[in-house]
Parts: sequence; structure tokens; C-alpha cells
Amino acid sequence: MVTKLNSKAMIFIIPLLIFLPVVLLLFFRLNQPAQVAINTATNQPLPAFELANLENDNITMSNKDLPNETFLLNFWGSWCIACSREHPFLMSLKDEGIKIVGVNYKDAPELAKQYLQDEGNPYLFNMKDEDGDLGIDLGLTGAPETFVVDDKGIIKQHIAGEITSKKWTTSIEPCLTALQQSDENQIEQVCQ
Amino acid sequence: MKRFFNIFTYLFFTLAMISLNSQTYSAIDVYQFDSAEQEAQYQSLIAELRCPKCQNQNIASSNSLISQDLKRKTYELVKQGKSDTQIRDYMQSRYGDFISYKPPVRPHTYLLWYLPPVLLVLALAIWFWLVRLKSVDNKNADIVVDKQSELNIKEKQQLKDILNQYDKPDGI
Repeated sequence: MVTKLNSKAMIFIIPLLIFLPVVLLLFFRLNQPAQVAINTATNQPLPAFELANLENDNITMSNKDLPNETFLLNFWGSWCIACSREHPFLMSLKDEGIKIVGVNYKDAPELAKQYLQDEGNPYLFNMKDEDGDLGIDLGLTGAPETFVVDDKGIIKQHIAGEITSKKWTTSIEPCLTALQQSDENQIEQVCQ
Repeated sequence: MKRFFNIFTYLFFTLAMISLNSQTYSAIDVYQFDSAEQEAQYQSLIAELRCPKCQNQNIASSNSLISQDLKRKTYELVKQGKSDTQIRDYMQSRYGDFISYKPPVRPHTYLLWYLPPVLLVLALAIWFWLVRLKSVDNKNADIVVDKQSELNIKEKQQLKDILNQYDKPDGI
């Protein structure tokens, strides 16, 4: 009688014991970002590239044309709605003296140039990644995406989606400050 | 009326199948391959690689910009004669384990690979155990019934008398 009761109780208890961790796991995933952060490029040197300048097809830009200081590498396109939302913030960053290099991603050059004329140009220069190869090399998932690159050409941060003032104050600005101070521990902590 | 309903049902399912078909094949790109093997390799790889921008979708069924790019890259690498492993490594080095629906077996993916078979074995073991418990219970129950059905000497005699009474030929 006792074993019968036990086995009957077990039929309910065992699935419950399996179900409970699943419930806990899902509960703690609530309100967490669902997008998987791809950060394989971080702490790696910027891959070698040769891309045409947006303003002049005859000029080829490569790694040696990049600034010798910390800068932002911003992927954008005139077709991308989130990029135009991000644009005013990039303009304000330019005013603050932040160096931004633009990668015009899978775009029509005429539309891109028109876009910069209309909205303002926050970039030091722009290169065209028409087939998206540099994007793939950096583990890009779309536009806008931004990379923080240090003075040695090492990628320190991969920001998916648009740069908002919240993202700027909570993660990007602290990373730039740490890079400026060359504080290795701090860099590891805040640049992720 | 019934006929009209039949025609309507037929049309509905035909349209449903067509729309399903176009959805499945809308993402197929036109690429030229050197051999059927290369095409098969390409098809199996784009089915295995995952769109990094999407919610749980492979690049074969996704039309997002990045999926189109990754398909093109896969095609280029296949055409260059790269092996499945080389192409997987190429994607994995850029997009991490996330890029493949078949992540490599490593210490931090052990749980992913080995938990399901372990759970299956555990479930089977529990099932066998429960079945055994039940059969032992049934055996015990049979013994109890047998003991109860045993007749004492007086009852046996009574039963014999009753049977004899009815077994007598009716004299016809």
C-alpha cells in the first residue's frame, strides 16, 4: 500500500522536479535582452580592408588611413531608419570632438551622399562596404552598428543597434574614458 | 450548397498550399554551381547556419540583408572548394557559436549536447522502475485474492453437494 502510494506520488513529483528548474530558468530570463550579443570581434585587431571612399571612387581607404587615436567605426545606410534616428546623436558627438569613421553599408552612393548633405556629416570620412564583406569580417548583424577602436587599431566594444544617450552614458563613454586613461583593469570591466 | 462548399474548400487549400510554397522558396537565390555536390553542400550549409539578426531562423529561409550576405559568402567559399568544416570555422570565428544550429562540442556546450540523452536514459530508467513496482504490486494483490478464495473443508463439502445435485441426469 505504501509503495503504491509512493509510486503514484512519484508520477507527479518527478515531472514537477523537472519542470521547476525550467520555470526558474525562464523566470530569470524575463526582461533580459533577447538579442544575442555577438562580440567575437572585440579585443581583435580591425581586419584588413580596402574600400572605396564614398566621396571619390578613385580613392581607396585602408587600415593606414584610420585615426591614430581612439575612434568610433559606425556602420550606416541611408535606407536604414534606425540610422536616421541615431544621426542627430552622432552630430552631437562630433561637436564634442569624438572621432567617427563611417562605413556606408550596402547603400546606393548617390542616396548616401544626399543623406549626408541633408542631415549633416558627423564622419571624418566614409568608405563604401557595398557587398558587406567588412561587415561579415566584424560579425555585423545589420545597421546601425558601431565599434569602439583604440589607438592601436584594436576593437574594444561592439555596439549593436543605434547609439542612444543611455547607451552612451552607461557603456560607451565609460569605455572611451578608460581607454584614454589606459587603465587596463577598467578597460576590461567597462568595454564589453 | 454542398458542392459549392466542396469547391470553396478545394480553392482554399490550393491557395494555402501555393502561399506556403512561395514562402518556402521566396528566399532561394539563383547561384550557378560547378557540380551537384557543390550545390548540395551549399544547401546543407545554409540550412545549418543561423541568421544572426533573426529570432530562430536559418539563413536559407531568411531574406534579411545579413542572411543574403552570408549566403553569398557561403556560395563563394563553396565555389572556392572549401570544406564544410572550413566554412563553419569561417562563420564561427566571426559570429561565434551562435551562427550554427550545430554548435561544436566543447566544455561549455556539454550541457547542450549531453543533457537530452541523459534525460532520456533517466526517463527510461524511471519508467522501468515504475512498471516493475506496479507488476510487483499486482503479484501481491493476486496472492491476497487467492488466499481469500480458498475454501474451508465445510465449504468445500457444501460446494460438492450443490454440484452433485445439479450434475444428476434428469432421468429423461
